[in-house]
Amino acid sequence: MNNIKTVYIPQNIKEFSSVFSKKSLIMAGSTYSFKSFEKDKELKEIVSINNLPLKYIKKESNNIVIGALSTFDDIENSGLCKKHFFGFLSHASSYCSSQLIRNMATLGGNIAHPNAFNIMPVVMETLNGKLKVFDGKKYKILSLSDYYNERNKVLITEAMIPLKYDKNLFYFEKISRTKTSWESYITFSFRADVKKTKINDIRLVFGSVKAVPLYSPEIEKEMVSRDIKDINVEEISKKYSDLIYSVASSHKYSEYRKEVTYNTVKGFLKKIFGR
Amino acid sequence: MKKLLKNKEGLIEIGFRLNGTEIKTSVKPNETLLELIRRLGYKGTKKGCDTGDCGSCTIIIDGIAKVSCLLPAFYAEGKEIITIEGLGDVSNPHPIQKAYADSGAVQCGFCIPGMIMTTKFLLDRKPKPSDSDIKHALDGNLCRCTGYVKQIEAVKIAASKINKK
Amino acid sequence: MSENNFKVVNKRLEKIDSLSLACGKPMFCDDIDIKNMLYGKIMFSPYPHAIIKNIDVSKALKVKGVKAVVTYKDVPRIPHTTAGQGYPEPSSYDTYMLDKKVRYVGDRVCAVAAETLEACEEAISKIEIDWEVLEAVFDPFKAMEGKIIIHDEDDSKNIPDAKHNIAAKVPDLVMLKNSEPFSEAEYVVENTYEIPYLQHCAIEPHTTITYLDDYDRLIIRSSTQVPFHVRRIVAQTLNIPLKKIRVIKPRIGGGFGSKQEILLEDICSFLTLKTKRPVKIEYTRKDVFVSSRTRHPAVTKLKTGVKKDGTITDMELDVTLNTGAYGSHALTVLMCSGSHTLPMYKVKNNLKFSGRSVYTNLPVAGAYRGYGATQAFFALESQMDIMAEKIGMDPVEFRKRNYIKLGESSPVFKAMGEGREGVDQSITSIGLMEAIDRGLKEIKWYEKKERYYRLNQKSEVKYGLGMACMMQGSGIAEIDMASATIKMNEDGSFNLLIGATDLGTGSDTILAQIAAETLGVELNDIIVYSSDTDITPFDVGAYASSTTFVSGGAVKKAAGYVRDMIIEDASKILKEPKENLKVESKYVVSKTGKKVSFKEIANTAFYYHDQHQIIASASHYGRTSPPPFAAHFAEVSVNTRTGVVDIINYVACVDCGTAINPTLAEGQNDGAVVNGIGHTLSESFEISQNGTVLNANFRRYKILSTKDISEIKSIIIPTYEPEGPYGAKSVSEIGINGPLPAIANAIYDAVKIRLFKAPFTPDKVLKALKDSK
Repeated sequence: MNNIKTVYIPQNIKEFSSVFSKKSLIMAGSTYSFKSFEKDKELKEIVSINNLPLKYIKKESNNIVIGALSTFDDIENSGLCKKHFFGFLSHASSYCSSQLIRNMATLGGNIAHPNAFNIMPVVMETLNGKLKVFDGKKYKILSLSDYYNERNKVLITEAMIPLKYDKNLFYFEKISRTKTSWESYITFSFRADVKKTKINDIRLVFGSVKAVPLYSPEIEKEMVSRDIKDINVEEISKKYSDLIYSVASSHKYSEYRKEVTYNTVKGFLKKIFGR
Repeated sequence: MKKLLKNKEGLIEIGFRLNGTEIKTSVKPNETLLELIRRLGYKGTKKGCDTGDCGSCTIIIDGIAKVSCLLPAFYAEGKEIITIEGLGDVSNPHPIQKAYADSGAVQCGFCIPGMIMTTKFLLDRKPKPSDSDIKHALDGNLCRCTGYVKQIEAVKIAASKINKK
Repeated sequence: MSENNFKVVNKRLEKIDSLSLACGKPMFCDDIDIKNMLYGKIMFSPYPHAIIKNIDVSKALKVKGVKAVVTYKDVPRIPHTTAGQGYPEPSSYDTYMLDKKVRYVGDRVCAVAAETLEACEEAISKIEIDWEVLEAVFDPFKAMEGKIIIHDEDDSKNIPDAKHNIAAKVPDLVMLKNSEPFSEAEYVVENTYEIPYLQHCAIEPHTTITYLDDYDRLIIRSSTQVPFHVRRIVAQTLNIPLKKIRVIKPRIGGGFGSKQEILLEDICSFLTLKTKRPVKIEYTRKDVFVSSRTRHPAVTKLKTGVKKDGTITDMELDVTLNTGAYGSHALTVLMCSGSHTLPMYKVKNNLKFSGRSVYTNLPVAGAYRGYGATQAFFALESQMDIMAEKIGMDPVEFRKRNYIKLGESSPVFKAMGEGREGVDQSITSIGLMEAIDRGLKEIKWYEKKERYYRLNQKSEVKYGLGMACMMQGSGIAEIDMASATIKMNEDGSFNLLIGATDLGTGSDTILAQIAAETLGVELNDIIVYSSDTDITPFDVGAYASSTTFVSGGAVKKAAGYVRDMIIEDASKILKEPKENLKVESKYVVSKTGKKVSFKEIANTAFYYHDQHQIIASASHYGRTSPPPFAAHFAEVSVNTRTGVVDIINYVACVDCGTAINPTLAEGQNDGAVVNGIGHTLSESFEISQNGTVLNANFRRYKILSTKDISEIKSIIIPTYEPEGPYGAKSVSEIGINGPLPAIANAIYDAVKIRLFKAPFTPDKVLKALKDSK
């Protein structure tokens, strides 16, 4: 990083677009970017986006909208995030490794640098969240998977979480060796919309298993189309545990993940079906 | 637009406030904020791991406790930074410093400046923290000497002393 | 046990450096700026076992700012041990400052000194080496086969069996033989317990700064537990006179044994002598994990025999330690695993210890709090519960019946010392019964066991309670020596000069408390200066839980001599016989009511009459090593869905004799317990197929944080040890021996699965639960 010539500090999106290019390194919370590029001799410029007006959490039409510079701490302590989705957003954010990192790591950064252990991508997938991104000229709305497939360099400006899931049931658990581990064996992030005898919608997302969050529309579809009393919980749980196992069968914790996925999915489904 | 440029010596010139004093200095692009603070003579902030995992380099920047080993030195530009030296001194210690010293919470003392800075951050926004609030806020400050038992006590004592004032 | 009327000792006084440390004063090794200083950096081996066929440093020397690049060709080849132990060190002399051969990934290859760290790194990247890569061995049992020999050099000394990679061994040591082994046992229990590679994780990385003073003497400023051993071993390895070296220890950010080692001082000093400039070498956190020291991974086999009436008939302990690439502490940790555990319980017929420390091409194991006892207590205390269950006896009663009582002795004390025969002794103080009873009460043992038995029938999360008893030592009898000098100042204050090493333990404070108590003054009348080889008298350093017991003994003696001198002078001033006089609150007071202040006595001595400096020195070594004892109680929850074990409550009752400073003693115990819980739940090295440590950072090797501890309580059980200063024994190590077995026993209580391999991570627990169905 010693060969950089300039550090740009844009104060708004207009200034940002004037310096945004493929070659610049975007720096926000600094929990990842600075140290990763410390020895890079090719880097010529850095764009520090910390002054962009992207630190907000608000309710906008039918979404909770979270600015990309919001930190895990902002989200954990936000009144809106505690109130809606039964506090799921706040609860999930509290799992991020340590207070100091929660004070620094941003929603945007956590999504922009994919890693199996990142929490925000898992949360986004659970809530079908969308990302508003800026490509230097205009804004686009992308799903998370579209974002990961996006070839061009874009800046995440905010996440939009649909309020239609507000009254769903939620479950979040990160299993690791200690309570502040960054790594985890597996992360469970479940959402279910259950009404009397039917599942209107269900999303079971698994983190820490692949670089991006894992979920299965096929198995979910199976549950949504049937009456609750016809769903064999053991069978569904086994499908999920086999799926988790198959994703990384040679991993040293594959047996553990298989077992604990079975146990946890079974427990969750039994609970939401009132069994 | 605001820019930080390299000067003739290849250094970036920055200005910021450190413990209430205006500082104007020049930094290497790949220098960490921790290195800068120690280079300026503020040795209380420590390097325990240099990867943001132990918290001994914790300082308060614009009111928020952060690990300075992960931040570039140029990040300090325009900021208000407080280090352990800015809280108090032996002749006039801050209540948090006194509480830690009084409670047996200081053994080797290496993690303590970082712990105290995080404690200040906690008590500034939660003057009456519960036990779990305290543990949640200090979870990024590692200590191998004390097992945290007396440190959590120290935070509670500091909170009650500050609230009395 | 006497009821003592202490004025300073046994008081919760503030540690003398606490406030300064809380205010961020620059007191640690790296907290000074030295003009003209160079950075030193060591190049580490990328191979677990290889020979340097050719090393070319010419390009490295050309890097701007580089002042020296040294290889094995440039340094004296002097076999030595890096272990900070008394001379002659009971560890093999198998280490060289720099060698032609490397023996683990992380071993020293060469060293660079340059104006900046970047220049050092650039220089290292430009060093060209032709390697002959050798086959490596990582498993101690495989290493013993001798197909690959790690120390094949002919100049190493005291390696018992290099051909089989044996760095230390204790062949069958039979300490008791009253019958054919196990002939009277009604039940025989045999199990193997394992502990992996563990690291101390002191938050301050190893740092050393060396420079030449104005008299061309070598000054070493280092984060070390053993300044006097550093001086001697640096003189040895650099082949320079000892009198040319001064070692100064500033404040240290923790050690736990990892700094009981001459780790950086030799090479740093060499670079200073070569460049004639100050040099600083600071380990990165990764370097600390890989290239400093670790705990000895252990495979402990314990075979015990027991009768239905609760008699332990036989005990055979066999320990295999992985000592890594070099044998520092290999023999002494091995012996300690027996000497500090086997005396715990009375054995009727047969008592045997055997063991070996084996070289492997892995990071080097050394001293770590507990020092072998931690590994062996995991086995012993787990097995006590297993035996109790076999004979249908309450594990509490089983232990109470069998532990060594006051006045009793054990054949282990004489047979096993630290690297050699030990010293016979009997128990002169023990508060274990009180510790057990107090702990049972505090954790509500019987009440909870009953409640959990019912609760566990139908819940997914199951609860259990487990206990463990343990001991350690107080210094090494007949070997560890300490000394102190005390001089009086004219205002009635005193300078206390001690070699003893405070690594955050608070030894400066408690030694001052002992001096103050003896002299009849307050703590803040004692000015402490410690750990400077030029100015403070000899002390072996901080290890073997020796500071309070041994250094405290020296301080008490020296203070006693000074007190006698004060009384002598006072008797002349007051014109009263000495028998009438005693010290009290900075006065010498007479039975008759007359008194004279310390201030007046000192001024008289300095200026008025028969002028002299009131000063005395004294030395002390322990004739015995009276063990502290402790009883630990763990309450755990085991989540049968995820395998996650949570510690809900942990009570540690410790008998350390008189606690010179109860707050500091509790703090030591808290820290040791939480460290032990870390070993139990989460810590272990992850090592690749080619011997590389994969989790050499705090992100992946997780030590416990505030969120991981719930209720931890340390309770001091007061006893009075007649051999110790004001009744004190030791407290710094013992606490770390409890968590592994107490938690293993609690997990068994909760879910009836017995775990033999630490750490008890969720995947291991869940697998054991699954396998047991």
